[in-house]
Amino acid sequence: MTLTRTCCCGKCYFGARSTDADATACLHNKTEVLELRIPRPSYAYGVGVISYSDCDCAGEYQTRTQCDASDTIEVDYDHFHPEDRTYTWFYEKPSDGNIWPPCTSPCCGYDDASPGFNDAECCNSGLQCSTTYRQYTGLAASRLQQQIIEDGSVPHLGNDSDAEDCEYGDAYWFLQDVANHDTAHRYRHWIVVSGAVTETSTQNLEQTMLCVVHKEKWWERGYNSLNQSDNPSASDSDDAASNCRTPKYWVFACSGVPLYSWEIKQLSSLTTQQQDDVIIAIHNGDPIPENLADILEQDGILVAKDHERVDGKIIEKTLRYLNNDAGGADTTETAYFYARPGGWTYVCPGFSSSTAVDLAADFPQIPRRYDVACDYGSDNNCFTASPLPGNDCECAFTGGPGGDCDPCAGLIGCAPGVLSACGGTSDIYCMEDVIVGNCKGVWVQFSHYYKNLATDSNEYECGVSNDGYICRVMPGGTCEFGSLPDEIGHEIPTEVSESVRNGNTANGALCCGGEGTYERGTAQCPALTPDAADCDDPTNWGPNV
Amino acid sequence: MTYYNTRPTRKKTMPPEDPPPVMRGLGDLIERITEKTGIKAVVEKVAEKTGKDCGCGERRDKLNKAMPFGDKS
Repeated sequence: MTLTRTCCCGKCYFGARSTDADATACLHNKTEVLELRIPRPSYAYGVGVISYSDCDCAGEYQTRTQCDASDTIEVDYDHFHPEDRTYTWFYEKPSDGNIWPPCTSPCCGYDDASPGFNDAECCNSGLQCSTTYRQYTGLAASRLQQQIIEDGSVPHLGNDSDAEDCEYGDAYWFLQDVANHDTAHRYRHWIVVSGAVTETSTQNLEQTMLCVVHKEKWWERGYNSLNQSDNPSASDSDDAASNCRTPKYWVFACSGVPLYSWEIKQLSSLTTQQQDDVIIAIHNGDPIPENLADILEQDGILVAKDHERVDGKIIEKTLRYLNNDAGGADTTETAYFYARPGGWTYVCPGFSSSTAVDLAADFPQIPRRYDVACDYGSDNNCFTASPLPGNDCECAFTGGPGGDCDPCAGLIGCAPGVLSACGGTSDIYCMEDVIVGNCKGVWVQFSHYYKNLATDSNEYECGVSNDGYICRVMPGGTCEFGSLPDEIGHEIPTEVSESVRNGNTANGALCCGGEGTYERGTAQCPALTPDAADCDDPTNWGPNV
Repeated sequence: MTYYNTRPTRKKTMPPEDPPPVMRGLGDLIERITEKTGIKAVVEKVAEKTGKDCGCGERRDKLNKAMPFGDKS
């Protein structure tokens, strides 16, 4: 894919750098819409075994759930902003826990093996840490953090022959030259004390980072094809669509730009009161007033654009510091940095218990991928590309003497509803969605495994694999399917991966080619499992929406 | 919070924390399977709407009695 390198107004860079052809720039306006499609083909899943031995129905039966094809789920999303702007501003603070990479990982990093340092000790007591990189507190980073920031690929721990390296990609490259910035360069810093903005002692660069700011474009769910026949328990058609099925909002984020307290105080054109308003808003976790963020953008402080550099760095910062190598001289220089990658995310219909109030008051600083009503485990989100709800599902069976001996009696005609349980070493179903996106849209792949209870060998099979997609459609246009991401990483659940490695499940029984997982303690680590049956190309791809 | 972009990001549902309840017999096994598939909830919803019991509870108890798993305590 080749995207333009021009840097005219309206471009939204969403990668770490401009030289990454798949993550450079989008052009947004208020007229484009999103179209979400999730086909619902016929499918069957599950194998239950029932044995009768003391009646006329004596025999062994195998049951399963079988569903006819249903109409494709189609949801249209229209531009959203309470005041009809194209973009808004969203930020995350280092203290939120997502800005710096994790200090330790049970899957990868540096433990007691050569050369002898231990990330856990580093995080706890400062021993055996990175000698060059620091956390946002100014304390030393771990070796794992250093490796993630510098490279993104980290070797696995120990000698587990079936573990793989962890891949963080370019997600944390933006901390290069920040978390290891020259400590002789001391930056003035402002904090909030008792509700007032107060200057404190000079700090390292990383300690003055208030947050990373992303410019975001939002779309709101409009038309949806689901109705109460798809979900009889819903009170209206919107509930039918929103019942842990489709998000209320989709969000596309441009590349993130770090914002430092000294930039606001020393470099911006904001008034003193406006400067304090921004710093206090961030301190409190409130939205930054959009007009003030706009000024910071106009001042060149919140800008990511193509500088046509060989290294692709898209953030240009004016650094102002006291140089202790030059007697504390007040110094100004220009430096370039990678950006924090943006991309897609979504907001669920029930992100809080008082959605309307919180949306008006807190937009856009509201939880992502979280719903108070949808229990999808720790992620608790509201979206899946599974072909559910499936209509006209029924219990089907084979075996037994037949006739009136029906192990499905009482279940015929019952729809399976939305799957809500999954995973674990003792459960019989495992499922997951994997999502990738680019400037043109999103591809989400759902896969669902079940244990074959008709065998005694922990054999798993692919029950359902389904592909959903979102296209960004311009007025009067069609979906450019050829521009959607064309590769997706499919990860196999731990128990399924183990089953393959133990020889109980054949590769061809798996949903898609991909990596397995290896259980280390409670963590799901990447593992070496041979590629499975290839289903990497969506069957419902293009050509038109 | 991590955005979804061209680098695949995994979203996986997690196993339930609570241990599974003790199964008294085949009826409970079948009920457990249907709970996992979501069938049970919909059956009960349909029964509520129609006012007609689907007979699942009675059927479960009957199967438990016919094929008990035995007391392991």
